[in-house]
Order: sequence, then C-alpha cells, then structure tokens
Amino acid sequence: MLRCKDVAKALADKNIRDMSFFERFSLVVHVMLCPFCGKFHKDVVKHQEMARCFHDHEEPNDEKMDDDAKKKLREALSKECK
Amino acid sequence: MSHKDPEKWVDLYGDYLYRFALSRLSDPSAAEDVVQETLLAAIKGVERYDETKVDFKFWLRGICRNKIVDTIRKRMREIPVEEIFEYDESPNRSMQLMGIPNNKPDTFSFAPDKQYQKKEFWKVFQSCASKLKSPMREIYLLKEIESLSTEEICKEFNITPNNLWVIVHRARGQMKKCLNKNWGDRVC
Repeated sequence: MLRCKDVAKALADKNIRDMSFFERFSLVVHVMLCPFCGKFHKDVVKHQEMARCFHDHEEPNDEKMDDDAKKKLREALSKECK
Repeated sequence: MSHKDPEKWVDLYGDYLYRFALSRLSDPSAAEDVVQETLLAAIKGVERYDETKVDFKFWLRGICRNKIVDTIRKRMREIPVEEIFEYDESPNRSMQLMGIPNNKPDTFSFAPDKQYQKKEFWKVFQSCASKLKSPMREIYLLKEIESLSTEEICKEFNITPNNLWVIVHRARGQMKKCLNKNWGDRVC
C-alpha cells in the first residue's frame, strides 16, 4: 500500500494518465481509503485533466495574425524557398 | 498537396498556428515569431514529412509546439534565479514530511469536466494562465500543459523537484481561484 507521501509525489511528478495500470490502481485505492488524501488528490487529478484537455483543444481564441506580419512571413518563406 | 507549396502555408496555416502559439504564450509578438520559426523549420524538414502518417496541419502543429517550448525555455533563462527560489517553501509542514495536506483545497464552484466543450471556458482558462506570475506561468505551462518531465524541467532550470512541485501546486491554486471567479459565477 502506498504512503500518503508516495501518492503526493507520484501525482506531483506524473499525470495520472501517464501512470501504469498498477501505479494508477495503487493510487486510486489509497485515495479511496485515506481520510487525508481523498479530496486533495481528487482535486489534483481534476487540474491535470483540465490541463490535458486544454492541450488538446485547438483554437481557444479567434485572433488572427497581423497582416503586416503575414506579409513579412510570406517574404521570408519565398526567400527561403529560392 | 498543400505541403508542397510553402508559399501558400501562411494563408492556409498562419492563423491556425498563430492562435495555437498565442494560447500558450499570451504574447502576440512572441506568437508571430514562433509561427515564423515553425514555417521556416518546416521548409527545411518538409522532405521528412510523411502524409500517410499525419495530416500536414498537425505535423506543423508538432513543430510549433516544440518552438513554443523553446520560447518558454528562453523566457525562463531571463528570470532571475532568486524569483524561482521564492517558491522554495513547501505548502505546509505535514505535506513536506508525510505528503498529507493539512489544508483542504478550495473546491471548484463548477464541474470542470462539463465545461470542456465550451469554447468560452477555454478563453477564460487561457486568460487565467496568462495572469500567473513568472516563473510560475512558464513552469505551469511546461509541466501541466506541455507535459515535460520533472527531470527535464529541473535539469533545464537547475531547480529541485521540490521547488517544481511547490510552484505547480501554487499555480493550480491560483488557476482555481481565477476560474471560480471568472467562470464559476457564470455557470452557477
């Protein structure tokens, strides 16, 4: 059985989705049974999940690149292509 | 075959890459630089692109992601070391010794997993991340969003795992406070 410190370290170190089945299983069992860790570690997992979804989310804004910047970039690319 | 014509890349992918870079860097000028570096790197590496494996847009996004991480690394090097060690203290003694939190975390005032399909939510998330103070913002981006390993970040910036975990812990706390304030009130 993991100790509280091991759980805290594991969650600080890795995203729960990157853990092996055994690591995840041990962690979930501990968090379910431990009166100290439950809420805190569930909270960490919520944050990790949110960050992961943000990572996969493609277009969180509607901004467009400035036209002048695009023009310069086109010039740089065509120079590079020659 | 859009990948074969680099001169069209700006029109086809410029805004897409710019939005992606801006969402991570929150700095229009840095985002433009990243797009430029991405497309120039793509010209050099386009021979290695295999269209049977991945869509060209996502291939460019992969390069862009690496350029974003490089930009954050450069920013980190400009941050005075003492500002990183400001975060040296663990959140509390029981956490430091036993890993047991003695303060219960504030709760989210909304269900985060119910918001993921809402575009507005991610705008608020991005805005909250951009409000984190340096170097907390950069470390949060590298560790939580870009999933760089603890070892990699600690080696790069010469900090201990403990420093890193404390910074990420505090960043999460500030993110939650900001999200509760700016999003929680809307959905409750």
